[in-house]
Amino acid sequence: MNSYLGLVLEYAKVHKKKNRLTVVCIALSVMLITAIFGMADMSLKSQTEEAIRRYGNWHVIFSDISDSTAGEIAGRGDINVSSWLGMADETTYQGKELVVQSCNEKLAGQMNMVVSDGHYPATANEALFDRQGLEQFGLSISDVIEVAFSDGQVRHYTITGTFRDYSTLKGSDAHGLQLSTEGMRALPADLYREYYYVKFNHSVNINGAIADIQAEHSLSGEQVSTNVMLLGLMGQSTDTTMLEIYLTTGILLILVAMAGTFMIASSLNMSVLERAQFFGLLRCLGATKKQVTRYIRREGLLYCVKAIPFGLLAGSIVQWVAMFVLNKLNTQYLPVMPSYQISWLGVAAGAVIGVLVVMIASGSNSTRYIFCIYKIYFIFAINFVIIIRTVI
Amino acid sequence: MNLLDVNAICKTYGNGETAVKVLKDVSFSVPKGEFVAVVGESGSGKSTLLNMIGALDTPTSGNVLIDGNEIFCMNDEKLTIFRRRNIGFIFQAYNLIPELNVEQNISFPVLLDYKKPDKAYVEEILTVLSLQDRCGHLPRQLSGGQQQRVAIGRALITRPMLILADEPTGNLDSQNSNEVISLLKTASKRYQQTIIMITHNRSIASTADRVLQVSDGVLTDLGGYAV
Repeated sequence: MNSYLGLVLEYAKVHKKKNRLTVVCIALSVMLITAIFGMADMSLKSQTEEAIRRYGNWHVIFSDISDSTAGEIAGRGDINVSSWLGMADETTYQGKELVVQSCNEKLAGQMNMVVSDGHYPATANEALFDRQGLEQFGLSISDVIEVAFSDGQVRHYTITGTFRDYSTLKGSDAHGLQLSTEGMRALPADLYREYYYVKFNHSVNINGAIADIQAEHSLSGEQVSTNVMLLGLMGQSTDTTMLEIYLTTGILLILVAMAGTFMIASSLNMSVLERAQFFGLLRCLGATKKQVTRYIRREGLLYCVKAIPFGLLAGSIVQWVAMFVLNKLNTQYLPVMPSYQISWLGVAAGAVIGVLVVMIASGSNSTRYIFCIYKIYFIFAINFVIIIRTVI
Repeated sequence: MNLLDVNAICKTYGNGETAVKVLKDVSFSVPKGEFVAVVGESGSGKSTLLNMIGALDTPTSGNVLIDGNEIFCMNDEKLTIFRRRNIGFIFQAYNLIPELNVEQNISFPVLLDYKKPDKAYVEEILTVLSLQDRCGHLPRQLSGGQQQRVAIGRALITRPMLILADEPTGNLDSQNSNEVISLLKTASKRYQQTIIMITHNRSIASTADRVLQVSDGVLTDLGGYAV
């Protein structure tokens, strides 16, 4: 033993059973926090993926704006992808509904339209045709497809490539013809409508950016519509339903964090209180208050080293099992959640709350600081409720 | 020169009607190297007096000077360090750390001072206390006399100028008691230390250089020097 702190290890060796209870309490709390935060994270991920798959990865649509306004919006630094998206009037091809759309290649990618063969249309009379359509109508790349529009005119497009079917087409037994923006604009103006789709960069305050664009270009509320579902899942929605969900989720997560904090702090406090005589002896032998605090903190660190990895692993396993069960039981109402994925949010929440509470509870004035943590939780919860209620 | 000066120490526990005056205006001095025994009936305030001298408790009034340092003027940290370096404690219940072996228990106060234990000195203490072949044993594997010898070793390791012993032979039979007292006296002479020891045993007290009598919180006899 080279330092008085070596007593921590000697004590742990002798009191394995006694310490086990504290370690198990900390591990259980970390497990609870990791599993619940992890499930929330995974659920959010799966719903985000589902929303992107169903509605596309865009944030806002501007309608009835000019090309110059669109150009100015595209030039903003906070925009990741933007493009005109044109939709032609309903038409049919060989008796099947044909959806004729246009946008640039970047936005097409965000709308789940990935070119699987050939290349994206570059001129006005080039188009992509869906793979199922090619197979069904015996067409192949570089063939010419004749499409009759509602104005009675038949227009010819060379098929430059194909794309994987996406759910909207499959769901309505329709086929898709994707034109370039030039191709759409070659149609008479009354045959199509164009909207300007925008996807912002990560970590942009989307509502702020939209308000900024609206103010800058004097756009009315009717000219702006947002992807409510996706923004909601990103935590950037001001939609009432989404805010209600935020409120419930936030309160639940705060309750979980509080329960974890309470369990860890109580088990550590008990472990220290029942050894008051031992710490008194250390003081008699000449340990300063700081040294006793350091001793308890080192013990806390030892508990962390033993309990937290175990808690994180157990939490991840619980999360996987819960996902597996949910995926098996609920195939109708919830999107399939990713199985056997580590939720870094869950792991970080478990590790941070675990280490922080153990270290605070093992420090001097621990009761005061733990009360401070509870106060922070309460203040956070109350402010959260007030903010959301104000917005609603 | 006096190593210890106790000046008009008073200690009262509680207040109002429940106030208990445990020490009443106690004053005495102890020169360097003296072996002093404190006797008195149970509840007379002997242990409280020893706790005041060792700064384990604070007096209601009065002061204590050790080697010229007024100990109750120091802040908590300074006082703890002063106590660690200058005062060795021996308790009736030994108060060893059950998780540490004999050698580790003896070295522990040195480690609290962020120093490396002097191996030769530890060996010397183990030899003087006849604990060489027990140095790897845990306290529970030792007899009462051996445990008290370890406690003496722990009190000696920092070479303190003052050793305070609160009934060190209280839990020992007469043979072990004599051994412990003999060891304390040997150590005191060998390392030039001042010892203040509480005891109920008159024959043990008679081996001290001076015997102080405490009765009902009052120091009634400043003690004559034993012949």
